This record gives sequence, C-alpha cells and structure tokens, in this order.
Amino acid sequence: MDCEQIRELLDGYALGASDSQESRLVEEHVAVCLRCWDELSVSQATAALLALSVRIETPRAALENTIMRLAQKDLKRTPERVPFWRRLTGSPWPATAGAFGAVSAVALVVSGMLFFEVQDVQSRNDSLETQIQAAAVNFERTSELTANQLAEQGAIMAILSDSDHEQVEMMPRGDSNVSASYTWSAKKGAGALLCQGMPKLEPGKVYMSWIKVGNEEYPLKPFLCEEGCQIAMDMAELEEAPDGIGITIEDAPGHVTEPNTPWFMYGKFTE
Amino acid sequence: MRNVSADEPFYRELDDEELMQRLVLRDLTAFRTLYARYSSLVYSAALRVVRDPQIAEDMVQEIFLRLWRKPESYAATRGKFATWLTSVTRNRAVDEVRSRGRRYRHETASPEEQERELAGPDTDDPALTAELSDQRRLIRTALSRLPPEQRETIELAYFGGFTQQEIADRLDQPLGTVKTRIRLGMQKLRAALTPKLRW
Repeated sequence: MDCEQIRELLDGYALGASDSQESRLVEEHVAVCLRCWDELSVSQATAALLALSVRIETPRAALENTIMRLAQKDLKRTPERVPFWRRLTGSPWPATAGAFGAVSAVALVVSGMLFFEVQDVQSRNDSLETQIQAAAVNFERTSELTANQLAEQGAIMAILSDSDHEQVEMMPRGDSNVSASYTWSAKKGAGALLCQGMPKLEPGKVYMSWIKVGNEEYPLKPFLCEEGCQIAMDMAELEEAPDGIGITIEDAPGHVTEPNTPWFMYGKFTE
Repeated sequence: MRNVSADEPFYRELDDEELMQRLVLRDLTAFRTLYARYSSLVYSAALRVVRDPQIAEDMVQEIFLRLWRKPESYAATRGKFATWLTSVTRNRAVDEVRSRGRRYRHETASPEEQERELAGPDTDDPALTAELSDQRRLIRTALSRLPPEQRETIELAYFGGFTQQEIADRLDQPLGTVKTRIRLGMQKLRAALTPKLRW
C-alpha cells in the first residue's frame, strides 16, 4: 500500500478502531516510512486528548480513604523503594562489592580533599565559615554524582561478573549501522543493554525495551539514547526463561503494554 | 481523611512531574496530592467508557494504586502527565469493557446524552490546574463543533471501544461512510487543537 492509502487508515488506527489486518498494514508501513510515522504520531496525540474532554464527575469520598489506606499499608510493608542497583547489593558479589568499594574510595578521596581544603581555609583564616560551607556543598554534590555513575557501572559489572552470564547480539531491522547487545544473568535477575550508533529520536518518541517469552512481550524499560548508552535492566519479576529481547520506538512516555511498532532491534536468547 | 489540597500548600505548588519524582521515593503526601488533583478526571474518563459508577471507581483504585506501586511506569521524558493518565484510564476501561464481552457491554451514550456531555457549562474540577482546565475547554469546544455524525462516530470508537466495522453495523451505515466520518472528524480536531495544545 502506498502512503496515500495508509494515511486513510491512520485515524482509525489512532482511535483503536482498526481491525487486525488494517493495524498490521499500518504498523508495517510506518516502520519504514517516517512521514507516515509523523502523521500517525499527530493523530495519536489528538486521539489521546479526547480523554480530557469528559464531563467531570466526582467519585465517592470513601474511595479516597480506601486507596490511601491501601497505599499506607504498602508503605509499611516496603518502607523504601530500593533502586535496582541497591537490590543487587544483597548478594555477595565481588564486583558489586568492588563497585561499592570504589564509591567509598572516591568518597574517601573527596573527603580527603575536603579535609585539606578546610585545613587550607583554616591556615589562611579567611572567611572560614563561608568557605567550609561551600566545600561541604561541593563535596555532597560530587559524591552524589559519582555514586550514581558508579552505581550504574557497578550494576553492569555485577552482571558481567556472573560466570554464567550470557550475551545476546541484537540485529537491527533493515540496513543500519546500529548495534546492540544484551548481557544478562539469570542468577542476578538483571541485564545490561549496550547500544551503539543509535539514531536520535524525533520529539515525542522513546525507545522501549521488551522481553519476549513465548508469544508474549513484556515491557522492560523506556529509555532515551543517542549514539551510545548502557542501560541496566531489571528482570527480577520474570518467571520463565526468555526467548528474545527487542527494542521498539514508541510514543513518549512509553507506557505501553505491548509493542505498537515493529522491532527496531531484536535478538534471540540461546536455548 | 484530610484534604491535602487544603492543608499542603507546598505540595500543591509542585507540578505533576515533581510529584511523580516524589512518588518514586514513596512520598505518600505527593500521592495524596496527585489523587486530589486527578481523581475526578480519572473517574470521569473511566465512567465515560464503562458507564457504571462502581466499575469506574474500581478502575480509579486500580489505576492510582498502580501509579503508587510502579511510578516508574510514567517516564517524564516527554508527554504531559494528565494526557498520559487519562489515556491509560481510557485504554484500561476499554480493555475492561471488551473483556466483559459485547453481550455485557454497557450502552454508549445516547445522542441525547452525548449532547448533554458537551452542551452547557461544564462543571470544571477545581483541583485541576488552570492550564488543564483551559485545555479541556478547548477540546470540548472543538468536539462540540464537529457535525454530530462525525462526533458520534469518533466517540463510539474512542470511548465505546468499537471497531469501525462494529460502528458501521451499529449505525447501519456502510463501512466506508464510517471511515470517512472518522477521518474528516479527526482532521478537524487536529486543525483545531494542534496549534493550541501541547500534549
């Protein structure tokens, strides 16, 4: 089908009213036609606005009580949302320990610098209080930034440190210089996606990673990537052995339960 | 339960993305603020599709608790939170209606009800931000200016969850007519909304 024919189908597709055959035609076409892809994005955005048009009604006040009580209960059960990389620290991995050792070492170095900075300030006796405060703020910022960067690296190192880790090479759709691989550890329930040559996305789009199990795709994580990136992925909730991993390009913010576009990249796990 | 919008001025000043960042840190007051801001909108969007107050309330509970438990499902890279939230609600509600099967599907609004939906002054939600209230007015105005048959067809598709073929059967119109109505109606909505709104 040519662009003109496809464009006649886009509004129905954006409203979720196309039949499966038309949906497939649209998806196949927009995967290779950026102009129609753009058209579809605008149409989908217009459709999404319709939900805001509803006449406002108010739920019963008791509903708020119920929801807040359940949320409060969750809070007691899980007092803190633990980021993926901190969950990894529960296991005695050398690499994780190393990563955190590195964080500590950096913190130590920075605190040493802070110490000498303070000493210097004292020796010069020049606006002592102000300079100590500035140094402390600087220390806090530096250590926070370093900790975050190292944490991501630490998570990836932890996966690589597992002797049973596996690597899946992902193939791009069509002729492309993009390359990506997914290194993962079943034991750790985590993986790391390494991408190179990723094209900058149009505004309003995000990359979305998926795990395929049988015929089902499960969303992993939306992400933005230009050129190269390393992204840690949490697979802890996966109950069955995965068959494949893929990346699609979705409308931001990427909250979708199934891929709306064909694979941008895809790789198969070894059996 | 205390009304957060009345006694938490600090949180009330935060925008949606800031509140969502706090949700990741398990900030219950941020969650309460988001609920105060959007519960009516979410409920209304669900009710518009399922047309049953009890089921709509169940969806509000499900959607807000999912937001609380998995706040990272909203990536604030791009896209407005309100549009995302109402779209999620609509999609979930359509799934619910479809899962109950056509036989159990609640009737969509009659033409008279549709007129009432858009005609007359809309009771705006005082919790909504001024920007969002303005957007709602623009969208409602654009919809109300569509020819009734185009509006009805679009609403059957979006809020009723019907396919174009089902709409054709339901309205006893040729499939081509339904597709044309959708295309023309959406063209007009795009023309009316695209220059004015950020989504």
